[in-house]
Amino acid sequence: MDDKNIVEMMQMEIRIPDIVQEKAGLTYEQIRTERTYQKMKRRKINRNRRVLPLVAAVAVLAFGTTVCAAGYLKWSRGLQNEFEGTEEQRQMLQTEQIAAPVSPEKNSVTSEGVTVTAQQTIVTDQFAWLSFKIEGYDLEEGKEPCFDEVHVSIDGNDGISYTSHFYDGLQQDASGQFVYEDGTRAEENASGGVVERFAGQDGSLEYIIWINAVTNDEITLIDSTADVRFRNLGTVHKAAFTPDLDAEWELTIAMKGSDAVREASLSEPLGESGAIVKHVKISPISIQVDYAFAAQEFTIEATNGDGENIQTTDHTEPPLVYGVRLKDGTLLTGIMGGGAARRYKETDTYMTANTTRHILDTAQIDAILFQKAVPEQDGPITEENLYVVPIE
Amino acid sequence: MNNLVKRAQRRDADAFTELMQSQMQNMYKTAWAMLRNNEDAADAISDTILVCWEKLGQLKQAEFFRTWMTRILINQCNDILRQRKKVYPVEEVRETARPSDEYENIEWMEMLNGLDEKYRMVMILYYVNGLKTTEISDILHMPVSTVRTRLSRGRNQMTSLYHERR
Repeated sequence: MDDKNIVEMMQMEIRIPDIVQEKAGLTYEQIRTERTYQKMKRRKINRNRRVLPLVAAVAVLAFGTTVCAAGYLKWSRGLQNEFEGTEEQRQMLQTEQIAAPVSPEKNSVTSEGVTVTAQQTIVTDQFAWLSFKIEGYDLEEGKEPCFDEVHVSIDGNDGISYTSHFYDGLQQDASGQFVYEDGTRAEENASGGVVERFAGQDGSLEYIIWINAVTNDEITLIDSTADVRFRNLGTVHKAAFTPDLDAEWELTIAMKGSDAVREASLSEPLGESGAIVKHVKISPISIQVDYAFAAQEFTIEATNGDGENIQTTDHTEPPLVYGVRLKDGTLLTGIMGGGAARRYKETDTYMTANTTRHILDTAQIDAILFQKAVPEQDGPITEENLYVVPIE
Repeated sequence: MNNLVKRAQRRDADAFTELMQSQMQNMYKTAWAMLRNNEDAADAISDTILVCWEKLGQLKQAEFFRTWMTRILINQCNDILRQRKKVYPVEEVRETARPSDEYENIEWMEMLNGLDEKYRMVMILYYVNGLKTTEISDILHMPVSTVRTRLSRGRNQMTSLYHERR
């Protein structure tokens, strides 16, 4: 019996017992119900917004947009973790008005003894990050903080895509291990779970909102106004929210930002994939690619949350950006963060835009790397699995 | 899988369901190997699904999703094993696979039962979950050399079992 036989034996398809699939189905349902409930509550608040008396503390914030020669921003813990880079690169983002500090006098709202302070923004034409400092909340050890509701609108438009979370103080090293900001290995709790460090040295928490406007042509992030409302603070465990403070914090933030990018028009086929790279736009923290690509629809067999076999339709994708090559030959791979794709059926074109987890010096980039194939085992992708597209 | 992870990180519940369902075989095999009981395996898996949904933002590199999820699942299984010790300090928990499950999965379960317990998890994590020996070493808190030794011995044991049954 060789290794191949062992693999076949170990990986043979077995029947998932009904009880396992039923409980999993209930869990998926719980997740969806929680989300539906959140959406209903948001809609209700939005509808009543104009007629309800203003009960929440409100502050109109003006973000500092003047860059002082000696006044470089000290980045928040969470945003510093979001983008790997040197102090010089962070200062470069501020000089280019992508990263902006907040005027310290006008940025705080206090309710029920908890102060929410907007502290920093990072804004490009398609993505924005907002960082808030939360002070005065005594988080019980081992608990994860959570707002019951967070609502964000841009220039009064509610139809934006965003995600938000409390920064947990964790990073992952090159091998995927969780480490703290100082590089020390993350501790484990009694259950073997990773111990988060939500609180900074001064006991404050940080909340980060990431806005993705790639698929919404009606939204302009640069020079826009963000209305952010937080409602009720508590903790979350296994997706269930436990309220602690019944309060509201509402802030209005004037954002700046920059759409300065390095662009290149190309006509570079990506191997046998059928995709041709037509245009790239690179900012220090994002990469957009326009392809000529006729996406094909296909049907896949899947199992839904109830364990029933279903058929769903999807479409093929062009090879996606996996990193960049610098002029000195360095490959920066696995650096792509969140983003979105758009498919234009009429013109057989495709566009992807993603953030990067590494601050890029765009002038030093000489090629974009695209993922050619995914290795069967999880792990880093090597150069032989990549298409290299020079942009000079 | 990386695209599913990224969509799930954007709180796409459909993508998350598809992602977790794609891992169901791995999760069940791992949970069953540790707990030997379908009800407990169901609890461990449903808790793992919830924790993954809650903590997916922690995962900075989608490539490590499977390792990260397996670590969570093993922690959930360990929780159940600890509770069992409190509730049933002496009595061993009997396997509760339903007859139909037992029948359909009998070949796989027999194969797994034929392996010494100390080799079982290492074999599952390596061959079923596709983890590297260094990752297994980290998750099971044992030296890499021990992982490799157990893998080698587990392979030998499987080969012997295979020939015995023929």
